[in-house]
This record gives sequence, C-alpha cells and structure tokens, in this order.
Amino acid sequence: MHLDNIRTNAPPSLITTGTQTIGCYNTYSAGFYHGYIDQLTVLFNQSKSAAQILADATLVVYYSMDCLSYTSLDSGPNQINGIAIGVSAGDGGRLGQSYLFNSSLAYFQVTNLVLLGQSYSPYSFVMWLRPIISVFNGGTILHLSRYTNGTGSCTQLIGFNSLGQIVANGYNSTGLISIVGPIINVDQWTHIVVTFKQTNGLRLYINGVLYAQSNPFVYAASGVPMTVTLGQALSGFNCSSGGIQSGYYRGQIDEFAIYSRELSQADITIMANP
Amino acid sequence: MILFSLLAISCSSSSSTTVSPGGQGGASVLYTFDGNANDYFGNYNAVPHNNPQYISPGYNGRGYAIQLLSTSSQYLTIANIMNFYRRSVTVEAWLYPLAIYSSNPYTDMIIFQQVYSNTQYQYMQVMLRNGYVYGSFFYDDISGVTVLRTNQWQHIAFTYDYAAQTQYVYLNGVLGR
Repeated sequence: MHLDNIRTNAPPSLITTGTQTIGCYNTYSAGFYHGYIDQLTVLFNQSKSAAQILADATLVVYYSMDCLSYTSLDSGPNQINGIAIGVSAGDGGRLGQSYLFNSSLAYFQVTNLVLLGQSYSPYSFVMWLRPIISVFNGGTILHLSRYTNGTGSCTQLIGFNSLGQIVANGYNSTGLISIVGPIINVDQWTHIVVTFKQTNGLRLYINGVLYAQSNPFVYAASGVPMTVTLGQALSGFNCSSGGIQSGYYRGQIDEFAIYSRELSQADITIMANP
Repeated sequence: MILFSLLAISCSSSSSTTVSPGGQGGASVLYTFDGNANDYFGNYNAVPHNNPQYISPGYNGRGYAIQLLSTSSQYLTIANIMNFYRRSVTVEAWLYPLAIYSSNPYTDMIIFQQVYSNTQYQYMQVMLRNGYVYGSFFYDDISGVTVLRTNQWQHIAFTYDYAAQTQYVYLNGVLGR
C-alpha cells in the first residue's frame, strides 16, 4: 500500500531460506545490472534515519583535528584519512583541539577526492579558522589540485587577498568566479562555509550568515580524482588564485569537512553554533 | 574503497564520534569490492560469476569498485542467508551505471536480491527498475521518482522500518527522490 510518494506500508520479509544474488535475478539469466558498484552495505535490525542516509551519501570527509599524535583520522563515513605535515597542535581548538599552521612547511592534505573532480557534483567546504598573525600578507587556506605537489588543474579555492579579506573561488570553462568576504579577525575563531551548486553558484557564509554569492555557473571540473591541501598551495603557488595572495596561512584550523552537496542555511546555522 | 581499522588512540574526538565502516549506524554486511567480493566482516562472502573485474578508482578514489557487465552476464551469489525475517533493514550502495535499461512495463537492474519463492514477502530486493531506485517485498514495492544518470557516481538506499511497517528509498541521500 502506498502511503504517499515516498513511503510504502508493507509487512516484513518472511524469508528464512533461499538464494541471494548481486547484479541479477535468482534465475541468473536476467535482471542484470550494468556498471560499477562500490561499498554495498546491509544493516540488519535498523532502518537508518533520513539524517544518517544523507550523511552516508554526502559527507565526504570530516576531520575533528584533535589527534595530532596519531594520524589525521577521518570522522566521516569513508575512512579517508588525511596527512598532516609540519603542523602542531593548536592552543586549543574551537571544538577540542585544532591544527596550527605556522611554518612554510606546514600543510594538511586529502587525496583521491573523486566527486570534486566531477562537473556534475555540488560541494561544500566547512571549517573554523583562527589566524594568529596579520592576514594582510595574504595566504592560501584551501588549494585544489590534481597532483599532490599542488599542480595540475589547480586553483586556490579559499584564501586571503592583500586586503586581508577572505576570498572564495570557483571556476567555469572561461575562468575563475570569485566572491569576496570580510577581513577575518586575528586571534578569533571564525566559521567559514563555501558552498557550490550549479543552479545557485558559489556562496560564502561567515559565522553562519550568508555574506556573498555568485551567479549560477557550471563547474568545469578536471574529470579525475582531486587533492585538497590546507595551509598552502605547495608547488601550485602560481595556480589561478582570483585575488588570493599566495602564501602560507598562519593560524589554526578546526573541524574541517567536505560535503558532496550544497549545505543549506539550516545546516550551516547548526554547524556555526555548536 | 579501502577501509582502515581503527587502532587505539590516545586523544579523544571533540565532536561527533568517528563513524564506523558502513557509515552512520554501521553495517552488518559490507562489500568494499577492493579486489575481491568478500564481506568486510567475514560472514557473507560473495562469489563472483563470469569473471567480473575490479576497477579503480571507486567512488572515493581509493581502492576498487566491482564492474558488472550485463553483456557478459556477470553477477555475484551469496551462500549464507541474511536474516531479514520480521526485521528492519537498511541497504545502501554507490552505483556508477554504464547504462540504464528500461522497457514497458519494466526492466530491472538488480543490486541485491534474496528470494525463496515467487510469493508475497518471500522476496527482498533492491534494484533499479526502469532506472528508478526500487525496493520490493513482491507486490509491496517502493519506487523513487528520478532516473539515475549514467557515468556518474550516485548513492542509493532502501530502508524498511519493521515497527512502522514502512519502506523508504533514497537517491543521493534524499528521501523519495
């Protein structure tokens, strides 16, 4: 019985024995799937909630940045551990501990991001920032590249311009799309969210409030898995930057996450007010 | 995708707990398809038929995904029966269809099927029917409303809530999509 368009009322399965197949009917002669399957999961005795399914489908990575002494564990569903090079434990964090980027050697890197390389994919970046010195010297906060040395199909997506304002970039087939935010205060935690969706363009939220947005545009992605580097652009300092002044970010970063969906204002309000 | 076992860690996580393999709420059975069809937990290993290949990258760029080609009649079987008898269940998968098949009245692309006989409630299946996410207990069915795209990674889910006696389907995390 169909309750509505999204739910069906049904008695349970009563199977106690039989056959099980992946990719075809139990006749083995029809009902064939055609394509790739990854991460097929079955959970007994629990109907996951809509929130759980949404997280499984769209939370790509999440780093609490608490465990410098161990590895850079992913707290998201995919176990995509990052690497932290030359960073130190921040003097506390916005939540728990944080990473402190305070040298030309310091960076944090996540590799093999398939969906960020796909033009159809919306995305969101989330983090807390706390610069420890003047932001007027610029600095790259988030860099996107094909290669782990920061080069190849590369763009500095988030950083400071020479006025100390935070800049968020996206790109389409003709070049960069840039939006400019406020000057970020030194020694204060600021919550930053950048979202992208083709129909809504790029949006920048500061402390939970929408600050700037672009017109809609088509994300011209590379088509290959991508690398995200926090703290600097590595050898990609000459990559397109849209006003971001290349350099080393000097300060703390906490609770960094990547989503494969455009976060809503409601999502962001919750994240910015933990 | 590759999964890493969680070793003992000396510092605690500040916010939400680290998510276990299988995503939020975990999993009872998990096929990572990283070069084989074994269950990550070792209980429901699948057997490939007609030599399906493992391709890289999977949806998150690490490890592998399995490639099942209808043109080669490739599929998997699982001998150990999963127990869905009068229980809630969640089935999730990442799919990258190379084609979407449809016809009148329908063509099915099976993701997972458990069958005893062709009678009601002796089926449990999750599939694409004419390209829509589709869950069925045989006559009690639930369908999404969006045809999956070819050559893109997409997440599908089917849940059954035994207490509420209700089926749900999701596409890319959105209920009923």
